[in-house]
Amino acid sequence: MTQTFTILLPQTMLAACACLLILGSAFSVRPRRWGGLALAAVAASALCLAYVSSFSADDWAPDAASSVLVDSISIGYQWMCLGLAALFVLLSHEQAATKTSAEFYALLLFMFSGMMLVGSANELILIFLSLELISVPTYVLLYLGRRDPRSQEAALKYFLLSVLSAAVLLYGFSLLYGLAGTTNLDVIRNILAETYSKSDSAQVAAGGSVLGMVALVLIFAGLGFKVAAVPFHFYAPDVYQGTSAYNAGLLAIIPKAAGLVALIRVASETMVGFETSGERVALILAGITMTGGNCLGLLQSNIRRMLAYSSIAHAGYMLIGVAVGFWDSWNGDLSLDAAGGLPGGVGASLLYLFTYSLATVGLFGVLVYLARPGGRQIEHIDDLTGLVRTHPVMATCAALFLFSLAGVPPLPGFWGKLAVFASALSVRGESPGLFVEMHSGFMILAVVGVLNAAVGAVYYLRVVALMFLNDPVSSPQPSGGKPAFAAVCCSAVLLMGVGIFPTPLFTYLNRGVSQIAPATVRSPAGTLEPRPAAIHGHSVIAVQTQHDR
Amino acid sequence: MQNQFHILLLMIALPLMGAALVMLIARTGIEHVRRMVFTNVVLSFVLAMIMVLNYAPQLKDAQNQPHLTQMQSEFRWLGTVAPGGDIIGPDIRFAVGVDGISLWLVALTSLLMIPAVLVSWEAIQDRPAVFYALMLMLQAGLVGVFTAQDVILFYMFFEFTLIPLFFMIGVWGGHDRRWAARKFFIYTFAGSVLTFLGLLFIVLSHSWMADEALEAPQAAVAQGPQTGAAAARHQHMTFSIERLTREIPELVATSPASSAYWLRVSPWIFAALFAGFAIKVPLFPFHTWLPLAHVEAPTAGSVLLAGVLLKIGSYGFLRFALPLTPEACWIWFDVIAVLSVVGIIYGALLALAQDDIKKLVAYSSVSHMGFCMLGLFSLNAVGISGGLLQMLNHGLSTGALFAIVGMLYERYHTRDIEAFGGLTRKFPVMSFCLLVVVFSSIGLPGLNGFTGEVLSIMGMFSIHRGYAVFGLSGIIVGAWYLLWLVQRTFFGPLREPLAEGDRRNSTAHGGVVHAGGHAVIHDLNFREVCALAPLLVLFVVIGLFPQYFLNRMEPSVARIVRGLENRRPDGVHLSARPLADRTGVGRLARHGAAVGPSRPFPETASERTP
Repeated sequence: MTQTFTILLPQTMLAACACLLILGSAFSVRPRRWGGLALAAVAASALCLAYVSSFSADDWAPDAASSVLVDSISIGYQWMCLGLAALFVLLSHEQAATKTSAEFYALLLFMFSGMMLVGSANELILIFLSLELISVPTYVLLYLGRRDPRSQEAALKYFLLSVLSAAVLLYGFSLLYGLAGTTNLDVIRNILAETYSKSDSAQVAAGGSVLGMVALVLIFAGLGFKVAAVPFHFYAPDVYQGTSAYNAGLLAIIPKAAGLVALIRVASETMVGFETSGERVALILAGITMTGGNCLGLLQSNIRRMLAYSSIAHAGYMLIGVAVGFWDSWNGDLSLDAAGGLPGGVGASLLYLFTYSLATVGLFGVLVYLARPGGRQIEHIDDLTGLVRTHPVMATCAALFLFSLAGVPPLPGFWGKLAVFASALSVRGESPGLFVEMHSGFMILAVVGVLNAAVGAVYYLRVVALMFLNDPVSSPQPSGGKPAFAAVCCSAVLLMGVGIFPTPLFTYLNRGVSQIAPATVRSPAGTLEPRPAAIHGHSVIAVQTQHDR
Repeated sequence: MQNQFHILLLMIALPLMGAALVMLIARTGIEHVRRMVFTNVVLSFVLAMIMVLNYAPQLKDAQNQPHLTQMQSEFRWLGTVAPGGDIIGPDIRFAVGVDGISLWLVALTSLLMIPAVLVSWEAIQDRPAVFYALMLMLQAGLVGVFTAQDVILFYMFFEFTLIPLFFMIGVWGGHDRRWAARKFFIYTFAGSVLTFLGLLFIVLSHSWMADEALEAPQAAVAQGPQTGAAAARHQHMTFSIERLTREIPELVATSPASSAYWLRVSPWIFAALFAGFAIKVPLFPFHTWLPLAHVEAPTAGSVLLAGVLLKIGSYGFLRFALPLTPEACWIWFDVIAVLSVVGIIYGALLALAQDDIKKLVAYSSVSHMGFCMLGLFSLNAVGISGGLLQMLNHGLSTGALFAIVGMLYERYHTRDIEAFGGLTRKFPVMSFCLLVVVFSSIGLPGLNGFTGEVLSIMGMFSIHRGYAVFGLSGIIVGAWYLLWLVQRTFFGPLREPLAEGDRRNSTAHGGVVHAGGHAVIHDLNFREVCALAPLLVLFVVIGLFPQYFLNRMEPSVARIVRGLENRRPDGVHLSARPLADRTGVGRLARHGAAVGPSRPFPETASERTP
């Protein structure tokens, strides 16, 4: 009981502060003060998180049926969330200087609290709740203070499609519940592992039971909306274009991160025995997402629309890691984690998410900071022409972010791509004559992936070329305030630091992923043995655990 | 020699520090900046000389094996050592070192920086500090590429060189610079990401084969009940180029399963490596980025691009493809040879048709790099040494050609061949320099070009006569277009285009002034002579004493050739073998120690047993 509260302390702290902000909005305080308070809330949450992460693995009482979990992935992910939260609060300096400032920050804190909760959830219902904790404030935020028809259209579109995707996701979850008889992820994993180790391997090769496959596809569809994977991406370009750069930045990061983590927790780590079908779904999604995003990104002239397609394309790279995660969870001893060195699929995906978020928050920060001479926000790529002459610092930062997204070493984007592609290449089988048989699907995916990186470089480079190689036509105004400037510089410095010295990141992942990822390891005899359960808190949300069936 | 003072790290760090310093002193005036950069470049060159003199090709290590990679410095970069001695995270290191192959390319880079700085002395007036900073960054990147001893480090420097050059072309280039810069970047990037995939796959394959080698004996011994407990410990994957080149051939040789596996995947790996390196070289169908980038780049950019950057491609083949995927080299032999020959002839013919001097030189690069590839892919010691020497020669002579073209352009602001004529009378020094460079480039005996081309063609002749003969015809066309260029521009009646000032005053006379013209334009000044002199001296030195250079390459080349010979697939029979045996060239080549035609090889006598 108390253990669960301890684990959820950082999220609770953020949510509580958000509630206080809403209460406080009744009083009239100068709008800018609220930003400071929100930053204080983030700091308080960081203190809580530091407290939680100070425990070692042995300090937690093991409990196989807990609804929350703490492992190094969730801790690392939450630190990332808090860092992003701080950056976004800084960026909002001018954005929030209105009458609704307090509400704005409250919603922001709710979103980040939901984002963090996904990392700790070990329970279908809790995952769904935390995803909704992100979505509902987003609807309000998209409407808040924006009255033109363009942004209202964007908000409505996002609302309708988001609700639809939530329904689809819930349907998938309920089918998974029907399959396993419980909502606890650990228990589901153990039940599935038992079932499929007893049945012959033919069924595993065929992709598992039909019910499970339907559940898997629905989960992918529901979460595919969050990460903006290709057939479910249609909202993204319109919404990003219709709303402000700040909101677009939030949309490009928070739902994507949360959706990806949920996908990893629910699908690639939990649904053992479905890795053939899971791989197939994730493979196809990854391929079309990368290709679709990048090819359409080539055609854009609106900067936010271009970044929308870029964010779609990057979701594709992350899905490669998800696909490999399925394979890893079945072949624990063959995965890259076990080989020592590079992170396996799940780790690669998360590393990619981190590098993507770092560059994206900075890039949207540049767009928040700058405005066209009339005070309107930057719309067209051409508005940035010759930026290096008018705003050299911003232009240099933006170039760094763009090169990182393109994957040019030694920037973090390169390390993300290194991890993702290495994990894709590591997928292999065994065949009679040769000791290694390459998985043709993953090989093709890797080639498609790197070619996509080259396609992506084309449109990123176009922006860099405009900023650096052309003379300015108009001079953008700095409108974001000093904190926003500081936030952009901060992420640029962080970007350079991580790029040149990514050692702690890799070390953390290598130690982290191997701790939790495969629930089952295949012993040489070919049977599946449940791994010792990860570290869990006590169950707080009363859920029937039915693993005795 | 294990160096105490990390000379290679210094050679990478010095230009980077210089770049930072240049940006700091940018406000104190252009003169300071130039002097600072020049000092930096000369210091780098001195370091390079120390490196060359310290390299001992015959050095043996404790086991009396040749110790080829010298002056190594190594730091753990990614991955930390856990208390138990395990490494957590990927074992990527910041490891640098030179062997007989990279030695000369590093020296070439440091040398060519001097003319590159000198030719931009007056030409770059717009933000010179930034330009020089980028140039120094490029130098650091190039030295890094050639010295990297870690796969990931190599790839990092490989890609990193694109960024400074992108800005150098895009900001300080000619009329069409923006498109040229983007095309250059995207072309190279697209190829290199595939190369990246290939490199990653080599690393992964190595770790699997090493695991297999560890597990195989255990499985044979312990069939009993304890197998479950004794799960073989995984080999920690390595990114070290030296370990990979040493261990992969060993693993492939010892295990039949690994051998079958490697035979099957290595052609694909080769294809992936080929994608990036062939674009960089550039081989025939992938060369379209090159003329554009060369023509639009500022002179210093062209010098470095043609002189050093193209060598990264052929260096990549030599460093990765030949030693790591020898089977695939034999399988792909015909493809590469045909593309090289087509490149030689097609490049030469295109050069013949140009009316822009810089474009002509650019296409001549395509042709000359074809010789280089032809030499490397003759897959024997003679040819590989020739190809390597050709890399140096091409770097020097094309660098010098671009520098002279730049000097001419600085004077007249046009590069149109038609606009010039009889310049010898006006610029005796320049025309002397140009003639020497041209003769070196077409391979006049006694100058450097001859040795490289002859060795390359000879190497190829010993395994395939047809390609060699076609390649030779490229030399003839090469002589044609270069001499024709000299004849049209520097001989005959004096024809000068209007200089910048004159053109503003009068647009009459169709833009061309006959006989007389303007007195304001001078011959090469001291600075420009200084830029060209070291190159000209080196032409003669390499031409007269190629053995000094070949000796240092020899052991490194011999190791590659041994690997190639050991892993020659049975199915490969090349047509010219009987003839090669008759002439003795093939024999030289096959014994792997042969370098240079003019020297007896002690090894061959003892090994010539049936």
